Amino acid sequence: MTAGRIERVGSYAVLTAFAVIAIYPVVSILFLALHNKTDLVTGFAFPTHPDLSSFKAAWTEGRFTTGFKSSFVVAAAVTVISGVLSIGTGYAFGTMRFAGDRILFPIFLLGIIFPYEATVIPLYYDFQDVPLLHWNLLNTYWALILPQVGQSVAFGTFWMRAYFRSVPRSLVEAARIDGATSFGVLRRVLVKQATPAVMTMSVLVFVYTWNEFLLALVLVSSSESHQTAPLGLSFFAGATRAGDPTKVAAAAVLVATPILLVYLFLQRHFVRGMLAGAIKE
Amino acid sequence: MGEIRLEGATKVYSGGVLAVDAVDLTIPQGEFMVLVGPSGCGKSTLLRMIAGLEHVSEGRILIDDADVTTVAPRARDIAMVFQDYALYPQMTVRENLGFALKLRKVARADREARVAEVAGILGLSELLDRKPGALSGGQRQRVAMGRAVVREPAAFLMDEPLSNLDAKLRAQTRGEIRRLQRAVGTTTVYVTHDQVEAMTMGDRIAVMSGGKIEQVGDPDSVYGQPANTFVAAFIGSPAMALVEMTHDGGTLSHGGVRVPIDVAHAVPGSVVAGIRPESCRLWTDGAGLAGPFDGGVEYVEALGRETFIGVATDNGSRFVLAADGSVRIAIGERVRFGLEASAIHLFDAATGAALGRS
Repeated sequence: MTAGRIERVGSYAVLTAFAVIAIYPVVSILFLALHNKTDLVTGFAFPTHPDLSSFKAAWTEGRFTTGFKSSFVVAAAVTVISGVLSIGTGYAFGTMRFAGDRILFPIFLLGIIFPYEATVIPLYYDFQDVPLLHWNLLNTYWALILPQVGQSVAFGTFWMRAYFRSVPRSLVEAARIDGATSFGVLRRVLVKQATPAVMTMSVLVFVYTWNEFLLALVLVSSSESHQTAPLGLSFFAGATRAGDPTKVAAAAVLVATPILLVYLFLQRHFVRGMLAGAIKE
Repeated sequence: MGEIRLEGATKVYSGGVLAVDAVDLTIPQGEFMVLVGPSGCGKSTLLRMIAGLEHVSEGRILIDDADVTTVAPRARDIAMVFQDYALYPQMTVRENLGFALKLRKVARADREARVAEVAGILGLSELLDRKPGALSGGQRQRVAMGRAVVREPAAFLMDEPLSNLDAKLRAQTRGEIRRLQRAVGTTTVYVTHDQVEAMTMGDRIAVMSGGKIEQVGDPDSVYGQPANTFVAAFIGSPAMALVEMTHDGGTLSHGGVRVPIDVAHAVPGSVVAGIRPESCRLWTDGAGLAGPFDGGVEYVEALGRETFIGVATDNGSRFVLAADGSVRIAIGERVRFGLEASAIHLFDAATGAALGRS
C-alpha cells in the first residue's frame, strides 16, 4: 500500500468514526420509537417488527397538531421578518460608512453574546403590560415572535454583514455609477447573489426558533392553542408519562422531523453558504 | 460636452493621510488624459474623486462648469471601467450592457437597439446571452468597456482596465480602446501605473507622485523635457540614468567621467545629469560621443531587437547603454562607452527641478 493510500484509508476511518458518533443517538432514538411499548428495549436495538403505534399515541398526547401549527407560525414569521431586517442591516454595516457605525455594530453583537435566559423573566412582565401601549401579549404568538426576531436579527446582521463585506466593492460602485440608488444596488445587484448566504441564515434561524423551549414555557404556557411543539415534548417528561420510553422517543422524533426536512431540502445551499464566507475568490 | 476641471482637489483620509494634495487640472472636452504614477501616488484616489466614489476633503470638481463636488455618482453623467471589470455576475452580457439604460428608464426598444449597436462595435454580438462567468478575460474587459460606451456619458473614467490581461492582449486592447475613444470623442481619464500605456494612449499625461501632479504634457514633452528627476526616472524604460555631477566652466565631471557641455544659461556647480539609454552607447569610433569612459557590466537585458547594458564606473556612477541586439556581452566584462553630450538633461541637485537640456 502506498503512503497516499494509507493516508486516505486513515482519513476515511476517522471520518467514519465521527459520523457514527454523530448519528448513533439519532438512529438509536428512531429505532426505540419504532418498537411497541410492550417490547423490552435496552440500549441500541433494531426493531424487528416496526410498529408505529407509539407515534400515534405521542401525537395525540403531545397535542402536536396545535404544537406543530404554533411552531410553524412562529418559526416562519421569525425567519421571514428577521431575514428581511438582517439583509438591510447587514448591507448597511457591510458596505457603508456612516456616523456611529462602529458603535452600533457592537450593540447588535450584544444580542448574540447576552444570555437570553436572563431576559425571559423581564419579558414576562413587559408582555403582561407592554410599556406605554398597555397591551397584554402573554399567550399570543407575538410573545414568541418579537423576542426571537430581536435575537435573530443580532445573528443575522453579523452573518449578512460578513457576506456583504466579501462582495467586491467595485460591484457596488459600478452599480452606483450606473445610476442605482443605495436600495437599488441591494435589490437589483446584490440580493440575488446573496441567495446562498440568505438561505443558510434562514435555515439556522428557522432551526433555532423551532427548537426554542424556554420562552414558550414561560410566555405562552396558559394558552393551549399557542403552545409550540418542543413544549409538547415536555408533557412526556413528567413522572406520569415517563413509563413508556417508546412514546417519548416517538415524540422526540416527531419534533425533530421538520428540522431534518428543512435541512435536507436546503442542504446544498447551506453548505455553499457556510463556505461562502470562508473562501475569497 | 465633457470638460473636467479640478480646482485644488484634496483628499485627506481619516487618520490624516494626505492622498491627493491640492490638484489643479483641466481636461478639455474629448481629451484622453492619462494619470500615471507608482502605487500609492494618489492617481486612483483622484479618479475616484472625479467619479464621486471618494469624498473630496477640499477644493472643487467641475464637469462642464457644473460644480459636482458633492453630487452623487449616479448624477454626474460619467461611466467607469474598473480594474476587476465589476460585471454583474447574475446578469447576462445583454443585461449588463443595458443596466444603466434601464435605470435611466430608456424605452425597451431604444435600449435593445443601443445594446445591439454597442455589442456590434465591440464584437460582443455572439456573447449577449452569456453570463460573465462564461467569458474570457478579454471578453469581460470588452463588456466592461461596452457598459461605459452604451450610456454616451460626458466622460469615461478608467481605473487600470488592462492590468488583468496578458501582455499580448493588453497591447492589442490598448489600441482598441484608443480607437474607440477617438470614434466616440468622449473625454477620458485613464489611470495606469504602466508608462508604456501612458505614452502610447494619452493625448496628455499627468505624472503623479505623493498626491501631487509632477508634470502634465503630451507624451513627447514629458519624455523629452521631464520637469524633474521623478518624471525623468519614471517615464522611459529602461529608466534614465541619473548621476550627480559637478559643473565647472562647461564641463560636467564625476570621477573619470568628464563631459563637455554647451549651456546657454547659468548652471550651478552641483547638478544631477540625466542620460537616457539611447544617448549612451558602446564606444566604437566615437563619432558624436563624449568619452570614452570605462565601466564594468552589471546586468544585460537582451530583448532581441536591442540589448540594454547596465554599466557602473569605478567611482560608482551607473549608466544604461542601448546596444544593437546582436551585441554579445557578459556580466562582469569591462566595456568602453560614450555619452551624447547634447542629450544630457540637467537637474538641480537640491530640488530635482529641471535646468534644461545641455
